[in-house]
Amino acid sequence: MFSNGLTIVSNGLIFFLLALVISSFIITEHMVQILESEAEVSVYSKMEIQEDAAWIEDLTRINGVRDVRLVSEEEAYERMAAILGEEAQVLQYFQENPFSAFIELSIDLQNMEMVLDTLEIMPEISSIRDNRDVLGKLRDIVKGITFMSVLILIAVGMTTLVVLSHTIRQSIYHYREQITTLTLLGAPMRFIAIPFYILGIWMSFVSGIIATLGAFFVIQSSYRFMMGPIPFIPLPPMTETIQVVAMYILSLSVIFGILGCMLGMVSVKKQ
Amino acid sequence: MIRAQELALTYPTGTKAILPCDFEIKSGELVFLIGPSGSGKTSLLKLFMGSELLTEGSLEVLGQSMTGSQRNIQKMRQWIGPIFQDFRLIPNKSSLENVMLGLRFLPHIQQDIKAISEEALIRVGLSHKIKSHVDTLSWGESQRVAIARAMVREPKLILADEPTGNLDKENAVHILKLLMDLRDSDTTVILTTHATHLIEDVKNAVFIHMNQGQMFLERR
Repeated sequence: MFSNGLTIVSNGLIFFLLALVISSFIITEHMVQILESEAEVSVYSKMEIQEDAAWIEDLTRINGVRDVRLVSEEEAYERMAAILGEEAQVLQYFQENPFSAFIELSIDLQNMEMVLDTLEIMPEISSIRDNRDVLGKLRDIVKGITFMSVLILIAVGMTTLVVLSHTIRQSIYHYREQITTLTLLGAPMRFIAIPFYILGIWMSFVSGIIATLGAFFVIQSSYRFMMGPIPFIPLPPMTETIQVVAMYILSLSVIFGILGCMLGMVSVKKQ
Repeated sequence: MIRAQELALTYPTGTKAILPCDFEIKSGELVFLIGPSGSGKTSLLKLFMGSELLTEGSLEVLGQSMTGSQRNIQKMRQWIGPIFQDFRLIPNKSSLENVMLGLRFLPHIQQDIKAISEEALIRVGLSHKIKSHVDTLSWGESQRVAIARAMVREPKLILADEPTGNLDKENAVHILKLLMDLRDSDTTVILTTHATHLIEDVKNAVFIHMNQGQMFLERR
């Protein structure tokens, strides 16, 4: 009974680690998706930009450009003022509006390279500003977290399987005489095996519940922490994150429970 | 019922528990396996139950080859009533629950298993212990629960390992009589015993004398 309790707690802690990795993955993946959907390129020209200029019309025909919009000098000024917030008074020190008009292109991120190549050879364009570096770094972070998630998933799977199969073997050993008696009384193998499967799945599921509860509190406090000082981070809805994490952890706990029992049974049969 | 040809059993340690032998036991026979400790009596019973695998020759029990598939052997066990030397009752359960457990896996028993289990316990003289936990029973009472569990299965073959061991003479005679009476229902009963003084006068039975793995069959 005591060793069963320890198995539940240790598996719970392992599942908790997995829950943290899954929630990090969900959050960063969401951030990248939001940023990708807002992938924009700002195009500046030496000439005064006229909204009905032919080259601006040409921009809309570039493969991968979703939308073309002229941002006037005034709008550029207002945008910067909004970003600076209370610090916007610094702009008042300029006698003239320091911002120039530019063209804002909404693009498909997959076609970003092609769009930039086309823009670079257009004579009307003097400079291009893109957020390629930021997106690239975010993508690298997601790749890193995905890689870590897979590693941790494998580690969690193996550890849970070993711990559970060992517990099942111990239980079978503990009840070996009764199992022999039932076998000799003609009990089918499934009748003998089912209680051990129920035990294994139940233990793993309880571990999953413990991990989910732990993850619930950690996610809740992380959201509170992040949304206070850095409110512009595009986080997915907290309830959704918790639901997805709970669904993954509880399903995986049942799957690992079944696999752990099967492994325990197979190792006992081989002996 | 049981047919053995060149049957032999050698344990992985090299101990020859049963030396090559041929014999046949017919349906409804009462068979006593007698011999000193270590003579191979329990090993032979284990071969009949399929809990030990023969290493040479062939053995057929209730038409099933004991070298065949485990699934078929398991099905064949539904027709065997095993009685173990150490009873092998399930702890923390009542006498009645233990007897009912003997019926749980038998598709050929369709009646009310609680009623026939109670009846079997009454038949072995345990009407007052039906609801008692087996952990509170004496050796003799536990042995009788084990016999009731085997009998209630309406088996074609009863395999009893020392059913009179550790019992006083009165209880031993009572249990032997219970088992011998099963001949009337055409059940084959095979039992090992040290208590040769209790079976000296038994007639119409088979006696397999065993010594150091060798056997000699005698019909009286």
